[in-house]
Amino acid sequence: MEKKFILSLTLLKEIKKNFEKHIFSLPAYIICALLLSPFLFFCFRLKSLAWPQGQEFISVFFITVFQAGISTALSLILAVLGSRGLLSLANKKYYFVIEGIVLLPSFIPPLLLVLSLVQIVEKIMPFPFGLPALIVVQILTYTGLCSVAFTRIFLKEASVLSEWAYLHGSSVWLFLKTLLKTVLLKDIKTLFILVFASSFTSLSLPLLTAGSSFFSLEFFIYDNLKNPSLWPQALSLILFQSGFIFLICLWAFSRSSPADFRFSYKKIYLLPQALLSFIPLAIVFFSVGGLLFISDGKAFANLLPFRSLILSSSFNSLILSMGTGFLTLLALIFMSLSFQNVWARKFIVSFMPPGVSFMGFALLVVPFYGKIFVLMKWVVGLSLLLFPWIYRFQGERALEKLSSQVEMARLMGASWGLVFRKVIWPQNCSVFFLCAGISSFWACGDFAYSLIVSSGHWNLSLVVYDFFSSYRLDEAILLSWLLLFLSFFVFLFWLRVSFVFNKKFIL
Amino acid sequence: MSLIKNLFYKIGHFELSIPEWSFPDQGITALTGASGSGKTTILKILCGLIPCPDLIWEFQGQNLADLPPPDRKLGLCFQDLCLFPHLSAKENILFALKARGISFKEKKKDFEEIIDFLGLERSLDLFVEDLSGGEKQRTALARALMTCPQFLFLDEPFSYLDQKAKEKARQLTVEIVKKYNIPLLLISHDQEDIKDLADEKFYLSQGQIHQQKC
Repeated sequence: MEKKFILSLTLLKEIKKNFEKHIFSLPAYIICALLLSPFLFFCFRLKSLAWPQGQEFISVFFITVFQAGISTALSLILAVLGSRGLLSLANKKYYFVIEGIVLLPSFIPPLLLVLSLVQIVEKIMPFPFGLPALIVVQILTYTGLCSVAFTRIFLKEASVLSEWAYLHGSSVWLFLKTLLKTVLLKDIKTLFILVFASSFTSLSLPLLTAGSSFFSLEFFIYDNLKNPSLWPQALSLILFQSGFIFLICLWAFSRSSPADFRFSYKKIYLLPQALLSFIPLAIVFFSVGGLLFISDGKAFANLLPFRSLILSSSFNSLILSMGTGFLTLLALIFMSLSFQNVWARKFIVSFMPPGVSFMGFALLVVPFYGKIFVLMKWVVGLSLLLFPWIYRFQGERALEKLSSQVEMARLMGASWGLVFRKVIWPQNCSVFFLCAGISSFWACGDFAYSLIVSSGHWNLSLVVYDFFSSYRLDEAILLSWLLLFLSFFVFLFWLRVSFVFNKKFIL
Repeated sequence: MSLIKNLFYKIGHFELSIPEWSFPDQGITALTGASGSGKTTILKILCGLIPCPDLIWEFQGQNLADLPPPDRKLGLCFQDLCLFPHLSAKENILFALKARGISFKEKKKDFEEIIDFLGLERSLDLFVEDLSGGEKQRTALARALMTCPQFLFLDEPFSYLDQKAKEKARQLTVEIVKKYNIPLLLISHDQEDIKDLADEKFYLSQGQIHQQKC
């Protein structure tokens, strides 16, 4: 009898432990399932795949590779030069401000960047919409980010080496060549792939700059998805696009770096490089400078008849961005709860989210069309598009940093719930709120995804886009300031919440 | 005696092959070896952090390897101490109780005794970053002792301390083992640690364990 009792007690204990393990693995599986859901929705609706007929696809593919490749190469070349300039300012007190300014073009909504560029160019000549415009806009978008990345990489990896090389009398050229071969090549490759993949899969920039021509495969897919009879073809293209990017990543990251290269030291001399910092700053001027002036003094008065539309669309933008931020926060909390689910964490880090057009249309085929469902689909879709990037660059790092503490807490016998409450959440909540803020900021400025999911002027960025496409640039610029204000407002809201939570834990 | 059998582990070119290893279940046993020889890996295997399917660890009539890591009741103090930086010293120590679902009331007397013994009264309310190296180390020890472990593991525990603090810490370690009568496995490559503390010495080389004469 006593033996039976002990046996059932042990069994109960075992069941409880397994239950806890599975319960805390579940949130991460939910996130993984949600990330895969657009593919599943679409596949269920489609019975077949069809390859595009004719030569159009081939020419679109090659032109996409060309524009993405040229944009990436020029961005990186300008970024290397720009980073040499930034490096000369890196020891200044105000450097973090410069870094923030240089990063602006990569973080403001593409719509505002194009608006600024068009406003500046239009002062000199008609804006040349088409392939050159697309390449220039992509260069403007990525050069600042790459300049800052190169500067940071250089400061981290090369500062000690440069002192060493200087002491041994190496020439600048030899030092840079050696550094490139031994240290920087991997980082350059990573940046190249990141920028190339972003340019290759971008929808908003081709929509804004390319007119009706297909200079991007994503735009071609978007066009196919608009016609339900072409959906099998669109799905084939989506699979092809994802496979192509995947193969490029595989090719780039599986090749090992060249073997060590030895210095033969002569003499190093440092050139005055500060002038080169004007490259990223000039890019910032073109990217946001155009938003600083308007040519028609009546622009504000012209907007007055639209005030109710502006109000309602601003409100919708707020809801959309707050909702996206909230879902991002929730997803990060889910991932923390499932800290032990290494498989799911690895999956999300390596997951390449589908393109904007695919996500938009995949959620459109979900059969709920009431207003509230449309809003929910909108928020969920944007969150699913943004979350893998945010998790890859912030979330996983924040969790990984705590792994030894979590290990220790578990060895002491802490349950996953206690580990989350006492170890993970107090230390990571500020990072999570920051991620929610970034997600909200981007969601507020999104227009490409919104264009697919909704019709008309549902949110403010669509209203700005409408003014832009009808060539009422001054009105669009005025509204873009309102859009920027809203974006910063939601971003600061999340930072404020983070502050309150931090204070709570500190006190 | 504590008897370990079938401790086999291989990753890449690194290999541990310990078919049998016995050491006393009282006093201080030291495990030493060159950097990268696998000392910490052995500790992690014994804790259950690295799976080792055939491992048998017989200790006081029980196979600890069969138990999940928290049920092995081990007191741990890693090289980086693994204190929670957002908590005060007191909260760090009491976390050990919370983790096992033990109320503070139940262990209040033990807590006060340990704090008194380790001389931590003045640093209890300080956050980890405000503690000195020695205080951090004693906080980690207090946390390890709070739940009355049946075995204590210290992995390079004195490596971040200066010479004076190291001597104090060594003395304290001997006193802990005497007072609480807990067997201790000390992992260190510092020969002074081994000389001053160890009752039994083992040397890890090329994945195998050899006994050294004291």
